[in-house]
Amino acid sequence: MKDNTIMQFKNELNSFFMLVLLNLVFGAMAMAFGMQFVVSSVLGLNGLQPSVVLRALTGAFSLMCFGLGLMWILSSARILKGITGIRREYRKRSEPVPGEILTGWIVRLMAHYRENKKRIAWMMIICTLGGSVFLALGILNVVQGIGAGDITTRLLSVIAAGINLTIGCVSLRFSLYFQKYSAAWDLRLQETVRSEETLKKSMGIDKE
Amino acid sequence: MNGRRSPYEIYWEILVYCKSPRSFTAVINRCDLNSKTGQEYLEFLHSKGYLSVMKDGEKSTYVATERAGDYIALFTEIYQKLFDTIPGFRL
Repeated sequence: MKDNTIMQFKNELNSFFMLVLLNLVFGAMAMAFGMQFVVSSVLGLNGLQPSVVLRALTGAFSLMCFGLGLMWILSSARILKGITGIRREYRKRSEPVPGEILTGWIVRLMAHYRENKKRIAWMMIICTLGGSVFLALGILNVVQGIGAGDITTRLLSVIAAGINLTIGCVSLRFSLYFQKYSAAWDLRLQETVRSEETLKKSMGIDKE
Repeated sequence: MNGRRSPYEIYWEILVYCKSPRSFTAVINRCDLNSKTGQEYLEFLHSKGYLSVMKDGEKSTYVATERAGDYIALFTEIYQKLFDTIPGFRL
């Protein structure tokens, strides 16, 4: 049973670490592309926009992407900070892991989730919003491409649309992953509260 | 160990750490508690018979009793079961 516990702990920790790390990368990309599109849309440097309204709309969306990207990075970095310590300790230790060490890591992850519960919920919103904005931006790029006169502009619009639509879809997927993680830990928190009642009753421990 | 921990998690940490005799300062540093709450937790565990105080001159150390072993075992079993019984997260 303990081997299973360690394997599940390891898989879960690695999966969450990868999710937050990728999320950080996508946040950085969102910020970078957001800034790039703001500059190109507002100043009209690339000359892609067929109309001023469309240019302004793209600029506004891009600014939102930039802001979301910034929040995205900050939240991801804070979540990542809590789990890197545990992951580092885990990687340093060779198996078999003593039961008390494993329990200590579980307690730390539990504390990390309690501390970051709101931030993870916020992350789901950011990913959904960010994903939606990037999808909208991708659609705008497609419209720009269709309206463009020359091949070069059309090609550049298709590339921009591809990038934005990919980021948008992946971001929405990330939001689902965060929901899945949150659901698992909420269940564990509920179970902990029930178990603590058992501890309190069976051992006669009750701190006022 | 930082973050929001429940009192039961803090009891467990203190008792595991005090398997060997530990001074008050060592306990509060290791378990990331301030003096006031650290004192409360230690007094509580002592009053319930989970910790005994060993005096060596002016120096006092805390050590977990046999009874603490039952608490540690039960707590460990409960927390490890959280990963065995609840479907986990995977990418």
